[in-house]
Amino acid sequence: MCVTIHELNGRKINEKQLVQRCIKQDRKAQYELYQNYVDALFHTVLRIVVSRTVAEDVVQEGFVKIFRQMHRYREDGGIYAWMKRIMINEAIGHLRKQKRSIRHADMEELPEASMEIWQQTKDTRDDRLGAIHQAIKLLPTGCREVLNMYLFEGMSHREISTVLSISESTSKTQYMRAKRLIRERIGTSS
Amino acid sequence: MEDWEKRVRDDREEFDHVEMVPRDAMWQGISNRLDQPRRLPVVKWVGIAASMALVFMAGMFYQRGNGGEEVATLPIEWQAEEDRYQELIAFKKQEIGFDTFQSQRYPDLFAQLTQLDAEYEEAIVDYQAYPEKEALFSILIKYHERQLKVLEQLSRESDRNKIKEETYEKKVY
Repeated sequence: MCVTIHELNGRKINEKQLVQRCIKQDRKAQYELYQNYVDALFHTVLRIVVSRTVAEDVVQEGFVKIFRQMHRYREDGGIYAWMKRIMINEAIGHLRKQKRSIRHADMEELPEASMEIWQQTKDTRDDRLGAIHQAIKLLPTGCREVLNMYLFEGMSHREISTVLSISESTSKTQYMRAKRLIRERIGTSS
Repeated sequence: MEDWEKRVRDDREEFDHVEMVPRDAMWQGISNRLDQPRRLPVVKWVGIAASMALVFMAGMFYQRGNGGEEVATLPIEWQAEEDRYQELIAFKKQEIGFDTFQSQRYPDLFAQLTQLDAEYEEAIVDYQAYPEKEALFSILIKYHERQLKVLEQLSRESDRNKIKEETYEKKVY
């Protein structure tokens, strides 16, 4: 079994000990946990909400919830999986609220293809990777959510259908649509 | 599988480092929020609301008994409806044997319940200052309705699992 080791105040501790300290609201332990997972969680959220500003808000809100509700963590599936699920729910919840507030019920609408989206990507050495990332961000909301959960987070269509309150077949259809749109945008397929 | 899908699967971790992450600024925000006094849990808020309603009702009876014409300013209907939903949820939980469920067997549904609790808690806190109370009240009720739906789903999943297990046992023995 793989045990993740963290360093806190010069001492090596395992993940279970780190979580225990976080439950006791030890700020250094919380910071250690944050540093370890913030990059992955930020990108998970970003791929769902697209806007960096929104992603920053969602990630902050998510971490506050994580630290306040950590006593509910039951060690099933690991701390990262638990944190990721909270972040995904937070990101989807944000999109739903946004949709309610601007009466923007059309799942087909494309996000704004603003230059901001393109300019925020790091100057990667790998253009292909950057192109895939950007193509995903430009997908319509519905199929972007499904694609991220299926391809990046490894969730099954059944799990996705539960989280998004849609049918399994809708989830599969949205995934196929996402694939088609990405193929059209980046050009090649095998 | 298309080539870009393969690329994502093969280099999954690289996709978590494509954009700059404002680590320090976000941590500052999180740290500030954690330093703020913690909101009371839902149960306490509901308890407080129930106590306030009781005190208010007692006051109304007292005033009516003395010929007073005081108009209710506290949302009594809110409390009655809230109590009704709390009872419904408690009943549903008892009916499906909620306390016996293992969260790790139904991680998605338990995650949804946790999320609903958290969102409800926020809405309750907002209620104190929110000007359009009726609109917010209908959102609060929707949280209860969604909670009931998730509990029903949990019950269905559990029944399905029981059938599967029974079928398996029959095959084995």
